Parts: sequence; C-alpha cells; structure tokens
Amino acid sequence: MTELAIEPSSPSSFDAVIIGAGHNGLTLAAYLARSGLSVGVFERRGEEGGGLCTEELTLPGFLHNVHANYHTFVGLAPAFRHLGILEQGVEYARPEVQMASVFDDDRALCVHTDIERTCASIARFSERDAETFARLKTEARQYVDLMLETFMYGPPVGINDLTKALVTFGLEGRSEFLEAKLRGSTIEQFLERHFESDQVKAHLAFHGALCGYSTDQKGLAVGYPLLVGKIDNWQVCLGGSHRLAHALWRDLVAHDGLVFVQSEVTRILTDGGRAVGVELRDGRTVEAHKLVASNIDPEHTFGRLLATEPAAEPIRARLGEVRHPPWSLFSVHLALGEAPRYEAASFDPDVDRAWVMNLGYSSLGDLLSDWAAAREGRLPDPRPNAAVNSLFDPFDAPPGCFTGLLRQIVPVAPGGGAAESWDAAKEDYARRCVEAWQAAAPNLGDAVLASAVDTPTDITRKLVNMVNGDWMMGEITLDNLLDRRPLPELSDYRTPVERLYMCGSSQHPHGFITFAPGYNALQAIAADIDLEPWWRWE
Amino acid sequence: MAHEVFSPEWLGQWAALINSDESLPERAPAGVWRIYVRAEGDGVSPYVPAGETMHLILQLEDGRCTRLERTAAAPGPRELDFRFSGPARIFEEVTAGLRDPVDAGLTGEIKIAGDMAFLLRNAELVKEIVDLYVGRLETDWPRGRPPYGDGA
Repeated sequence: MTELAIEPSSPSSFDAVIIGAGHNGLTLAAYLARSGLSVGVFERRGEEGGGLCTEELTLPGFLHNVHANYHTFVGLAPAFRHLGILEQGVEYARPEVQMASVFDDDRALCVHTDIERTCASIARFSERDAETFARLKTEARQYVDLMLETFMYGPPVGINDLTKALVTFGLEGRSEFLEAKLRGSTIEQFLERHFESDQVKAHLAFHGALCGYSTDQKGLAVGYPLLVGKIDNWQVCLGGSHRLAHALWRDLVAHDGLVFVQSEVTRILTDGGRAVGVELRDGRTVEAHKLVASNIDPEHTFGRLLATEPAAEPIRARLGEVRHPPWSLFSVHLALGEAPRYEAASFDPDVDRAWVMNLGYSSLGDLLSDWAAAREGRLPDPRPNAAVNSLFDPFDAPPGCFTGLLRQIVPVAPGGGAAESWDAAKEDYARRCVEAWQAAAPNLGDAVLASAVDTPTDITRKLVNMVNGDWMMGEITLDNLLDRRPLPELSDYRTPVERLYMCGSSQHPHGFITFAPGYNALQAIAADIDLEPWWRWE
Repeated sequence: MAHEVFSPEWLGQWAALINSDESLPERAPAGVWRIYVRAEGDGVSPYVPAGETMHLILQLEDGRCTRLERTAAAPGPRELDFRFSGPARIFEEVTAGLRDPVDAGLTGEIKIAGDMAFLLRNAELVKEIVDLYVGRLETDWPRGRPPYGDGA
C-alpha cells in the first residue's frame, strides 16, 4: 500500500473508509467513530453534506437550500437520539401552519401542527373528510413508531412477507386504513376510497408527491398511512440545511473521525475480492483495514470505481436494471423583498403563515396530468409548490428580506431529448413558474430581487450520484423498494465484494433526509465485524 | 393449576406450554433467539412496584424454550434479539385477556424493538407463541386482577 499524506499529518489508513460525505455517509461514519473505529470520509465536492447543500445562489446574504429543504424525520430518526444531533449546533423550526393549498377558486386548505385546526380547515370543504382525516391521523400517529421501525430503520422486509404478516396478525380487521390490498393500490385510489372532496384529495396527494411518491403508481398506497403519520413534522433547518451536515461532521470529528473534501475517490482497491482501500483522483491511496462503504449510487460504485473488479461483475452486468424515475424537480430560488400575500388569505388568513404551498393542484386530475406530462417528456403548465423559509428562519436572508423556493414536477429532459436541452429551456420555464406564484400572490410581482434556476440536469451536475436528476436516488415504485432496492443482490447493504457496503439513498428505504440507509448499513457492518451494538436498545 | 402472575411457577407453565407444541421446532427458525420483556412499574400494577422494572428473558433455541425467567437487570446489548417494553399494567391486561397483544404493539402501548423484518417473516410463529401466552396460561392474581379501575 502506498504511503500518503492527504493533508499534512493526515493518516493514510483507517479502519473504515466512506465514499461520499452525504448525510447517510456522515451518519454511518459518526456511528462507527463512536464505536471506536478510525474513520475517514472522502468527498468529491468542496463541502460535506451532499444534498444538505446551502448556497448564496441569488444575492449575498440569501441562503438557499439547493437540494434538501424539507426535514420530516427530525426527532423520529434514531440518529437524533444516538448522535445527539440537536446538541451539535443545529436548530429546527416546526411551522405551526405546516403546509397549505390554494385552489383555483381562491379557497385554501391548511395543515397545522394542531390536528383540530387541520380538521377545521378540511371541514370547510367536507365535514366527512375532516372526520376521516382525524381518524386516519389518529391511527397513523399511534403506529408511526412501529411503522418507522419496521419499514425504515431496519433491514428491508419483502412485500410478500409484509402482506402475509398483515393477514396473520389480523390487521385488516383492526384498522380502517391498513389492508393487504394496498399493495395493489395507488395513492389516488386510496384517497378516492376514503375521501370525497376534490380539494382535500388534491392536497393529500400533493403531500405524497412532495415526499417523492408518484400518486398514480400502483402499490404506493402501502406507504401512505406512514406519510400521514408525519404530515405535521415538516421542519425548517435554521441557517440552511447544510447546518445539519455540519452537526454530523462535528459529531464525527469529536470522535476522531475525519472528512476530506475535494478528495474524489476514483477506484475502490481490492485484494482477492475484498475491499481494502480507495484511490483518489490525484493517484494517492488510502487503506481500509475493516471496510469500505459507498454512499454514492450503484452505477458509479460498480461501473466506475470497480470497473475491473471480477467480484463486482454480477452487479455491473445488471446496472441497467437500476431504476430512475422519468420525472424530477425543477427549482427556482428567489431573493424576495417581501413575503407573499395570497389572494386566498381572504378565505383563510393562515395561508400567509404557511410554509409549504401547493399553488395549483385543485384535483387529483391536475396531479395526474403532471405525472403524464413528465413521462411523455412534456413540460407541464407550471403548478409549482413554494416555500418561504425566512418566515421561520431569521438567519437565511438579510433583515426585511426573504428567500423563496419554487419547485415543479418536470420530465428529466424536456421533449424527451438530451439532458442539456434544459439549458436552453430553463429561463423561460422559470419565468412561467414565478408567474404562477404571482398569480396566487400578486404582491410578488414587484418583490423578486433575483433568481437562480436549478434544473434536473443541474442536480446531476452538482451531485453526480443523483443520476438523471434523480433526487430520490432510485425510483419510488413498489418493485424498486424494500428488498428489491436498488437490486435484490444489494438490498441488505452488503455487496459481492467482501467488506464493501452500500450506505446511500439508493438503498432501502429511499432518498430524503431519513438517515436510514446509513443507519441500516451500520447494522450489517456491525454483524459482520462484530461491533458492540451500543445504539440498538437506546 | 393456576400460578401467580410472573412467578417462577407461572413462567415454568408458560415454557412448558411452548414446548408442548411438538411442531414448533420444525417450523421455527434455527438458532437461538432471545426476547426481553421490560415491564415498568406504573403505579397501577400491584405486581411491579412503581418506579421498579421487571426484566424477563425468554430464550428460544431451535424452536424450544430453553430459558424463561426473571432477571435482576436488563441484558446487555449483545444478549438479546428483541425487546418488548411498556407499562406493567399493559402486560397484565394482555395476560388477563383484556387487551389484544397485537393492538398493544400496533398502538405503541407495548414498544417492540429488534429485527422487525424477522418478526414479519415469522409472523405465524410469533402469533402462535403470543396466543399460547394469552389464551392458555392459567393465572392467579392474589393482589388483584386487571382491570384495576380509575388508576388505569
């Protein structure tokens, strides 16, 4: 093994080498460091965090979350209690008005942290739906801990085992909403079955879409009750999402781990089919005594970093089967001189205090047409969602100013052409997205100080592991989740290359700031290298 | 013959019930599986004083119960595979047949930790063991039988 100094006095060997400093890589690294292992994390970009990326995209002093903006697992993910994340300098705000929909008739529906207020808002559209939602939320809240433990923070279970268990335990008779037939249902069908108001259904479907769930995908209804269980836990990371990455980094460093930025891994070194280290872009090598974990996508891991490793061939041969969705997100980041004031505030003043806004889906059909457009490569008429973090974050904009974020479901490439075709189309489409917001909040006509656009192509340019603008790092479909994700052979976080593990969002459960792939990879690693599982029962 | 709830004799009766099922070793996953029950004294249960904790270990080895006993302290992190924890009153209500154990788990009244995928894959077995516990254990309640009234 070549001796090297990555930085003056930095070591050239570690017990564990992690490829990629996204939040799952940092989470795994922090647990391993707390377990007494020496850990080095190697990151291509200039800052740790991956999707926890905050930059002054528009004007100085305006902090925009380029990628991850919505943190819905705060306090729910085990890492919060095991790593003491909230004691590491990261703070959250949980807006009282979590989200809202403004409809084309200028009525509005708001989801509050207070379920009674949510139900009162729903009741203005349908009293029956308000009662149904109260029952669904109450039921989901009861079992959200068990569902998280079962579906997210543990090795994936197969859908057949899951369905069989539902029947064996007689859950269908106990629950109004959990039933085996959900595995064959779309979220839209679930909503049609239980709710009557078009607007209520549209808002609840919008919430599913925000979570990355295509509401017309068969089988995804299985996960919908879990989404509802945490529908009121959307939180703003104060000072920008990168603060969470910094907190994870601080915990890692406090336990003698190291993060090396601008240190791209170009090869995983092997010896007899076993991972023994990595090679960096500049040719230097780093030894891994116990393990290498890849927090990046399988295509890069097996197609490039292990391009000639015979043990990786079975996976390389199947990389074409790794699934990415045909849709992605188009983002417009805005520096605003004032906060939006919605026309719909005359119907419900709380919309002006809401964080996440649905600006155009008034029926399930509206959302359906956007999914269809994305699959056909057509740009839909913008019906974006919007968020103004500065309403809750005193640190992300200069005094009296606001950051704004617009996001729209779009095809990976407009017209079904090359990804680069976004470069020519993006400014005009961004203008149309802003106009859609201004139509709902006319005061924004004079409030936009500057803007910056982030297309699906830009997502991949910045975060290369998000292949084809795939912000969830793998399609969210029932046959690409659980023990099928990203391929059945990789689903338990182990790989055919001994002591090489997968720990990123391409693994179960999926993307979003869940900490789960890193945490779940830890379980496999702990079993294999006989780590004391100090976290397991805390 | 009925024995006092949580007494060594009562636990012995439960172990014997598990081992009376001769088909269990054929259907159970191989190996040793250790289940830890942690019942917290909640001020209502007359059997686990308030502020105290009852620790109970059930060990299955190739489908046979090889250990079922109360212990003085919680097992170490390497000494268990599953943990069921909750207020003592809830466990007693389940024992008395007043509360459905699946409902108690589903609603979080009894918290379940461990390899949930394993539990789901072996759902029929889990259900059978739970049913044995709930339906066929003869139990004596010398300090009062649940429900315990207003304190509950």
